[in-house]
Amino acid sequence: MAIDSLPSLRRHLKWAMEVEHATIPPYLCALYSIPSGSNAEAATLLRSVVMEEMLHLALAANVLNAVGGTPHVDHKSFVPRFPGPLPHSDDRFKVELLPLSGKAVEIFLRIEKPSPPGAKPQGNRFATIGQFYEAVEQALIDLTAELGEAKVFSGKTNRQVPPGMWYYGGGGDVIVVHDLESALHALHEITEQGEGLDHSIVDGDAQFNDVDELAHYFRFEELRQGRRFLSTDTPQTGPTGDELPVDWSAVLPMHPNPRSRDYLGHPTIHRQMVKFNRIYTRLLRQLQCAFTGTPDALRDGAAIMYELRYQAEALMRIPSPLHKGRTVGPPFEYDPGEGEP
Amino acid sequence: MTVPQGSYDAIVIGAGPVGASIAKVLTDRGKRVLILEAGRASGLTYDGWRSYVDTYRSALVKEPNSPYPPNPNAQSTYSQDILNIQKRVPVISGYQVEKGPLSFASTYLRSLGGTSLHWLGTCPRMVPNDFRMKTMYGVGVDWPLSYDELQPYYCQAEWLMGVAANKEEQGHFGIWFPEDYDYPMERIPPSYSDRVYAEGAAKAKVRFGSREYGMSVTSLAQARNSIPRRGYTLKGAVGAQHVGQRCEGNACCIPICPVQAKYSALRTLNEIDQNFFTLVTQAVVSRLLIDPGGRIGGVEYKRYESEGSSQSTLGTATATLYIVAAHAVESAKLLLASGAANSSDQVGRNLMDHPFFLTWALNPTPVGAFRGPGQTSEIPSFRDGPFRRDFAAARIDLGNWGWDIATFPPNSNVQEAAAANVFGKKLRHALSDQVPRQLRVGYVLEQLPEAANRVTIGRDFVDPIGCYRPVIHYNVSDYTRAGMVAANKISDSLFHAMGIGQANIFTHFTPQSPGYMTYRTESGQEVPLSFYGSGHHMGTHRIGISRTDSVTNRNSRSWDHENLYVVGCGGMPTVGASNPTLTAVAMALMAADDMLTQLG
Amino acid sequence: MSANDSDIPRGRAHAAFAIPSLDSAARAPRRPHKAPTDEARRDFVALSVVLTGFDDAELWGTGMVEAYLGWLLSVVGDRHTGALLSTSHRIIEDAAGDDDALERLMQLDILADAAIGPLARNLIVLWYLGQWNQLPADWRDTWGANAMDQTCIISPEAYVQGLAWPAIHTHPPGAKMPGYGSWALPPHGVEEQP
Repeated sequence: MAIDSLPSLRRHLKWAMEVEHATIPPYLCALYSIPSGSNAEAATLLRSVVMEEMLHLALAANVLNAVGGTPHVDHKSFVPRFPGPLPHSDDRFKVELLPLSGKAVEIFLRIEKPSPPGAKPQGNRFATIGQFYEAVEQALIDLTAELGEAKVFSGKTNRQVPPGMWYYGGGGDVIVVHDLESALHALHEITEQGEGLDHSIVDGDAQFNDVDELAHYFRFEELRQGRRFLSTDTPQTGPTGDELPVDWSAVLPMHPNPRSRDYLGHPTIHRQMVKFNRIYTRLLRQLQCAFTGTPDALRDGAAIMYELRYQAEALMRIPSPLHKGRTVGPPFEYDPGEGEP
Repeated sequence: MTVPQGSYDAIVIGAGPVGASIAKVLTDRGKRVLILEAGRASGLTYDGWRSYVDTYRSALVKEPNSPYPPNPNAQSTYSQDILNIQKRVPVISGYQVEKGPLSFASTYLRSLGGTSLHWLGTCPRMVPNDFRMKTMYGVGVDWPLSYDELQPYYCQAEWLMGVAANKEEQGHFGIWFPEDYDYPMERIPPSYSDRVYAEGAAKAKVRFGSREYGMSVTSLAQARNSIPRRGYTLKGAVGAQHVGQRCEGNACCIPICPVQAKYSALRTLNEIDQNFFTLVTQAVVSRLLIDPGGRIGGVEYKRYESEGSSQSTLGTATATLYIVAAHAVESAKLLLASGAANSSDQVGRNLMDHPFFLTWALNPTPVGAFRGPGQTSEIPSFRDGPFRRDFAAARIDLGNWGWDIATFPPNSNVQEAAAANVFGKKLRHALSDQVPRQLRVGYVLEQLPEAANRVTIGRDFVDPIGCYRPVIHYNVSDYTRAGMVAANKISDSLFHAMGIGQANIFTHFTPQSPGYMTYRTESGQEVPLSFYGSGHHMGTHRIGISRTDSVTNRNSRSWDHENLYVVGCGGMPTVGASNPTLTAVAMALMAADDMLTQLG
Repeated sequence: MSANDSDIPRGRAHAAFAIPSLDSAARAPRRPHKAPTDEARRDFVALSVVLTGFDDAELWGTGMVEAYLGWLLSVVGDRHTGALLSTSHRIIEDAAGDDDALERLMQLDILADAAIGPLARNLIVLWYLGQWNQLPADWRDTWGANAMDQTCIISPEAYVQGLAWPAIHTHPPGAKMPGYGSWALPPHGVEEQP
């Protein structure tokens, strides 16, 4: 389906936000399943990816706002179900909430899979995220040529999340979008951090350390192979650097794809799951606020993200009465309820 | 490991904020610098830092030095060794020997990075009148330099350490900033409880003599990471730069910031150009060698291989300039041990701290105790004023950590409850009801230079490798005691204005309180008082106008040895009510300019 | 610095006095012969719920259940642990959901008991602060002193998971950091800004 109008472009940019957001819960589950003190390198790697996915969400919001759209993240429909396909993808695989495991890493690799050379842009039912963004970029270029930059980039500038303020401790930074060039820059940042720059392993950033320069796909490849990439390695050579030790057994054994309703018969556990869902929903509400004219809301968003983490870690430690040898885990469900459950 | 021989432009003794800053400036200009540090280098790797954090977490007594393992060959004093001195003087159990009559009550850390590993990070500038106490108020001495002269170095120091503040909120009592200047980072957000205080402070009034004083709450300048301003690159943890890019509210600045969002000298050391810099740790300088001509000709140091053994090897090192930046107490000790720089007989004398006086109360509603950095705002209203003829100035810190060192919540609450068989929901609710309402105000009080407050050394007290332990003689004069009485009055007025009745003010002192003492008022009443140390050791090698009453000139250069600098908080002739590290680093940067001139 | 500074030297002095009077077997940690049974674990959690005022999911969420039960077994052994758990099992059944009755039974049958009362009080402190208090002198005189029975924070994680911090609606200093600027938000229990 061609993206041939501004409304269609805006719809696709909303989808982009859905896609970026949909990667976060599975990555967080893997990250939070690592108890403190073990698998430190794997945790640093996963954390770096999650940080960048949050950046991608903000970048997509900036592009959407720049073209006069309105992000809509505080809504049930924005929240994916697990297991389920990547939103608007061709449904070739299901994304699941899993603890760090071989299966989880396989799914992550499929999410971040680079487009094959010469792959077609795909605005819907995409095979790779890269192809989806290519379609969006093409549409931006075409619509700008057709309608003129002023008409396409008509969004309110005060809705832009500014750089240097609220995003820190991860690779890259927010880009303010106000024209075609900055919009393409923002979208390239997303795809390069995800699948790599022009079929190489790096993403073009060089900020804190090597891990931030590698594209997500190749960071996950490091996890899968238990070995680091050297800067001279290519996708074909695979990683040939130092060992990256992963102790797959030193992980909290969360049961896959936890659902709160499964625990209705266990009210104390159910309460903790609802508590998690409400923190998660509060975070979405805060992001909604941040992406619709109050970027400073991201400050308190950071506090909610920490709350979310500690509640997720607690759920990761509670033995599941339903699945012997497994723990409960965070459900990531939309729950607009207020206060303590 | 031995010290690499070679020609050094300067040897810096001590790798704290002052020594590191000087090394940074000199190496930036291509000078070759050797740093000799007595302590261990564990903090330079992020794993080493994490091990400090774990040591802290499992420490029963979470005092300032608790994260940093004891090192018999470069000892530090632990608070439990020196509190409650009233019961027995002298105290010799710890590293620092306390001769009294009062306990000095402050500790410091001998490790790479120095006490900046556990400092709070508070960075107020001194007010202009702090530099001219004798002229203005007839007490203390005047500095050989003015605020205006130190001002440019304050700016440099704030950028070097990464201080977060809004300059329009820092212009207290004549403090000024260049028009085109701003702090490198936005202010740390004030805490919720700061806002509660601010409402009360706006209404509070207190009368001293014929004058009535009002109060206001303003944000505090702090060396911790916040939102950067243009041109400033945030610096995270050493060895893990993505960590600590903001203060993330660990509420643990003292004893350790787990993410290194707070400045420590490790950061500066990590930034020094390795081509011009040699760092040798576990090297305790024991003596400065004086040439017949009066120049310093070398340093003698003892290098130990491990904490486990008192085996050390003696070495010497030479350079053009010698910079003693080992901490106010350690630097004085080294000068005394070397018979150096002391023609004025001022070395070791005029030891000052900021006696820290606490008042505490319960707010009617929760203020969110135990959240955020130790303090995010202050009441600057008593940092200067005509009352300074009579009693000490105070910087009033609004604590964010409940009653913390006053009563040690929530530990004390839990222990008392369990002992009284209070358990379950009752216990949970009791804690939940009380602790979040706790308010604690801290008064950082000025102390005047007095010759009898001093550091000495003696053969009776040496450490395992044969270096002197510091012997401290200390008292708090009526000038400062009267300041505490005034502080209590300020506190009552503040608490009352906040709607807190007398029944909810819990300040009280007994002979068991740390630093217990009394003050006799004009009417003959004995007022009980108590104080803690601020960890601000100052005055022991003061700068001055004349070689007869000071150890160095205004550039921290020794009057007696032209190639010797003695730099740090010990150089401060008077101390106002400002936490001294920022001022010490500013003085160090001024000294570094002089060093560069000397080196040519 | 902590509230019980002054307890530390006293505790150590006592240990030095008590230990030499015992044979070496008694000084060795009383390691449990086998892992705790599911039933013991259940009883331990049920007792801990009553002692702490936190529910079972909250306690499991700390990840400390196994560590604390293991610690108790190691320090005081199967017999005392068993006595404590069987008594608490019984009183919880007897109270049949009546909180007042449970409070009364807890006071009478456990906290007032010379053998298991000190253990229950220690569990309160352990859950809230991650700290084990050396058992009182008369307990040690009667039941024997164990080398592990020292006042200490039993592990870094035990400090981090102390329930005192969630009870006062914050986090332990130096762990579970709440994020930049979080301290500016109104605290728990305050709706409006002042």
